[in-house]
Amino acid sequence: MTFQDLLLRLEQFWAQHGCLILQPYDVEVGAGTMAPGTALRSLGPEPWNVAYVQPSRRPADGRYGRNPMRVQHYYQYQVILKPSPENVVDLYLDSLRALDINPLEHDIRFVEDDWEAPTLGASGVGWEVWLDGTEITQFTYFQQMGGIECRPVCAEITYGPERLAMCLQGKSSFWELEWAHGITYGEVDRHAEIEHNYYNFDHADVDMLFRLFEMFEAEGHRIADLGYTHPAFDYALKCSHVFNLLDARGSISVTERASYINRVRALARKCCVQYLKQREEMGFPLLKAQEALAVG
Amino acid sequence: MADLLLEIGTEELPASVVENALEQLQSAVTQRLQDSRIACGQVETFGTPRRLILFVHDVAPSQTDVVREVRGPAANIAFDAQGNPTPAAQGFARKQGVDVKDLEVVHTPQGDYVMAKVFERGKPTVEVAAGIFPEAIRSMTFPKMMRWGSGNLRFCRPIRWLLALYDGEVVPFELDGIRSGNRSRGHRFLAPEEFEVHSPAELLHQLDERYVLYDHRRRREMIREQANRLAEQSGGRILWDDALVDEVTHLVEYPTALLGRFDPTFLNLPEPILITAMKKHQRFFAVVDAEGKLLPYFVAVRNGDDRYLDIVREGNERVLTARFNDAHFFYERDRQQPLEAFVGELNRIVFQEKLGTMADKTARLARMAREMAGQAGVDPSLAERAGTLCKADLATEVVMELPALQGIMGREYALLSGEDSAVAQAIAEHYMPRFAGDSLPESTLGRLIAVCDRVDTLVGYVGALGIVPTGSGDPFGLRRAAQGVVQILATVEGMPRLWTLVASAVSAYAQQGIDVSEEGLRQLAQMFTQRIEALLEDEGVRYDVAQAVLAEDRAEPYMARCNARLLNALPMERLTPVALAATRVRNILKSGEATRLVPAAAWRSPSEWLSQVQPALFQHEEERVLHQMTGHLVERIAEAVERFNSEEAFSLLETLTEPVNRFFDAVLVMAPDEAIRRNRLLLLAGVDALYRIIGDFSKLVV
Repeated sequence: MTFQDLLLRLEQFWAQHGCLILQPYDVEVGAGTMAPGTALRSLGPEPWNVAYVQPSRRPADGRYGRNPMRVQHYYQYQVILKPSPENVVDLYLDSLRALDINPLEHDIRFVEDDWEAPTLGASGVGWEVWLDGTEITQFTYFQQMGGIECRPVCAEITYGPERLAMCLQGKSSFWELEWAHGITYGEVDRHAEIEHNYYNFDHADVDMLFRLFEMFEAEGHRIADLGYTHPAFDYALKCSHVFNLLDARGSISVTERASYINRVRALARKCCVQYLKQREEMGFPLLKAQEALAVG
Repeated sequence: MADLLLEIGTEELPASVVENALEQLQSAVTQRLQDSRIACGQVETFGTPRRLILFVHDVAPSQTDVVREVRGPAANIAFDAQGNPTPAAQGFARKQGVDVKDLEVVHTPQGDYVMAKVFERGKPTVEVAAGIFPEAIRSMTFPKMMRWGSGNLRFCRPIRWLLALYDGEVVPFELDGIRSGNRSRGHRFLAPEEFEVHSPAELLHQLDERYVLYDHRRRREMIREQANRLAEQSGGRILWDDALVDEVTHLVEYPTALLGRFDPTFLNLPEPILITAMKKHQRFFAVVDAEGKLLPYFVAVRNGDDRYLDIVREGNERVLTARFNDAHFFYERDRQQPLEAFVGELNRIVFQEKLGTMADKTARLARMAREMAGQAGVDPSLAERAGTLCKADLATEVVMELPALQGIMGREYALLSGEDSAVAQAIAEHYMPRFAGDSLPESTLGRLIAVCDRVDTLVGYVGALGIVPTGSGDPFGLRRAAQGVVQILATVEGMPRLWTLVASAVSAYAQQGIDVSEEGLRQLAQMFTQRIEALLEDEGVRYDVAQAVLAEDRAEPYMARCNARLLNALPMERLTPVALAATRVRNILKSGEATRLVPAAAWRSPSEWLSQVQPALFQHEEERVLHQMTGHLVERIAEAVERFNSEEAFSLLETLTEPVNRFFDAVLVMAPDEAIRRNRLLLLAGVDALYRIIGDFSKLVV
């Protein structure tokens, strides 16, 4: 199964099970969780069942394209089910079957792994799912987002499509994966990966990034205070990415680190609180769409 | 007598919680059965990642009947002068459901009252259990709890079914929307369909059929047996790790072990890296040969049967190869520079926000280790070197990837960098003892660094920041650190004194502009004293003896233990006279007048007191003798204590018994003249201080 087939099958599976298929978010994020389709929508009582591919960036994780599995840019396949349905684990296992992974022919295990995202003020409880020893999915029940308790609780299923593809294709490196027939993941992404690594680690203009952080942060608060939550949240994401770049450059000392994280979290939290308030004022409109948004 | 059964069906529980959860469930249910007057027999519990099973044998069909005595109105209100029941008595009897003529009168200190004996028939067990089960489940706690879906219930992982039976009948209850029933489920993949059961025996039998090895004890044994067999096939044996066996036991419902192999060229890497990567990343067991050398095999345990094992094996081998490649890459990177070069990078790792980075800690440790080296009898420059390097490996890639290798990689890299082998050993050993009962560092240098490291942590957290572990919580491992210090200092002769170490740490912090408060040190002293007390208790020292030797605020672990062991072993005929004499001295010093004239708020050494005594004011020979004796003993006892010779110090104290008793027989301490009075009290304060070098004898039960 090619990498693109894998993503297509997941899209198809979750669409068939009642999820909205969103498109990737267009601001740099470290994980699918940070996209507003998860971060904001996980708040409040409105049902929300969606799935989307999310390109993700973690500048410090890059290895100049020399490591088979460590990269600064990769993909996540993100599923959010709110409220988490009773058969959520079975649904997940069915999605693996849709990828021709028959649990009887493999070893599938749920290994405790609780999750925390300090820049979002988010935490959850769940597992990493292992397929024959490889972690292929993070499975999390959100407990908090933006410091706000999640009621109801949503289940987040984050697939690592590259790792899944490695298992399915029997490859030991991202780069060797068949993206489509006759063309590899390396041929598609490696050139950009290497250039980004040089930029992230060696050439990013640190002074500019520090200035950007201040500007993004100020703009985020200004816009949020005007009552525009979504643009403000974009700036929180931009702050987070700039912070990650500075971190990769080794420009943030450990003592400053906590304070930068706190600043990003403060902006993200402001957005979360404001978002929830706005939805409430709107009468939580999606509550009316219960049926259209039902998953099963 | 029939059986009671509860199965809590969950999504996969964390491996670490299952056995504790079973204990909680068992005690929550049995305690409530007992409180509800329902007799029961033997209790069994079984746990897997997906279920907690409680099986109570021979449970009585109902609560035992009781007769309750209910007090009613006062007798003079309930009966008129003729002894006939009034409307008050009739109303009370009616309310309690008894005949008015069955009312009795009881005599109480508050007067006479009417009393009804009310018979209560026990409720059927099914009904009572329906109340007990949900309560018991709600009472369970976990290190981390969660909610799920739209529910309010908090548990460790989502509960997906509840099976509850008594005598074949469903115990009906609802828990946050989940209804109990008589259905269970088999193995998630091998037998996923629901099935009905009518008795505990049937459930266990069905689970056996449906690929659920419900008994965790048996699962653990099977994993051991299977792994042993596979290791034997490879010509080796398993390198057992109990914690890993426990974890794997609770990751699977139906274990099937498989033997995998890896490229033998990886054996060029240090074994601890390979073993730890297998354990921490993959939960694999390592295989070694007869000499204990690692073989290029591993044993993995799958949650399933033995079909398609080759696919599972291949996947596991591939992922292990990727892990080892990573580790190899990190190891080679780390080796490109000497260990010392990583010290500079420790400023990227926070020790504690207010106490600075690991680089700051390293600077303090180096200073402390050098200062304390002489007292431990080690070379100061080696001690300083070990202090400087002991945390360096935290900045290496291998340790960042596998934190469990801290210390072990430090030793490895130290040797590769040409450091002294004693320094390398101390780096590896300074994390010991890791837990109560773990072995102590073998080398003196290792012990020195171990105590310096922990004292630095404790002085920082407790002394400077006032963070003290409370209750059962010890999030920063402070209690464990204090215990480590005490274990080493109390049992090893020739180590620096605890309070010298503390002083050294305090001045190292001061150098970095961090102040340690008196209050913080007081709390620290208390923590240490508690740890010493626990250690003495473990060694069978009597409680009063421990109290006596730990009476001073700042106890020295080694001395306290020597003294405690001596006092604990002494026959009463030697202990009693000394204790009585010392107590006489103690008691008079506690009087109001004494505390006014001789304020003993601050502890002073015997000689400090004695230097204030004016022999010219003596009026009795007994005073002169006691003064002379005491002055004569001060040096000798101090010297014996210096050598930790408690026996000798005590023998010297014994020579004081007679002079003390004669003094009290002949001398009126509270003389009318204040100067004389004060002089006598000063002398006694000196005597008291001398006794207290060993302990507060007044605390002994003699």
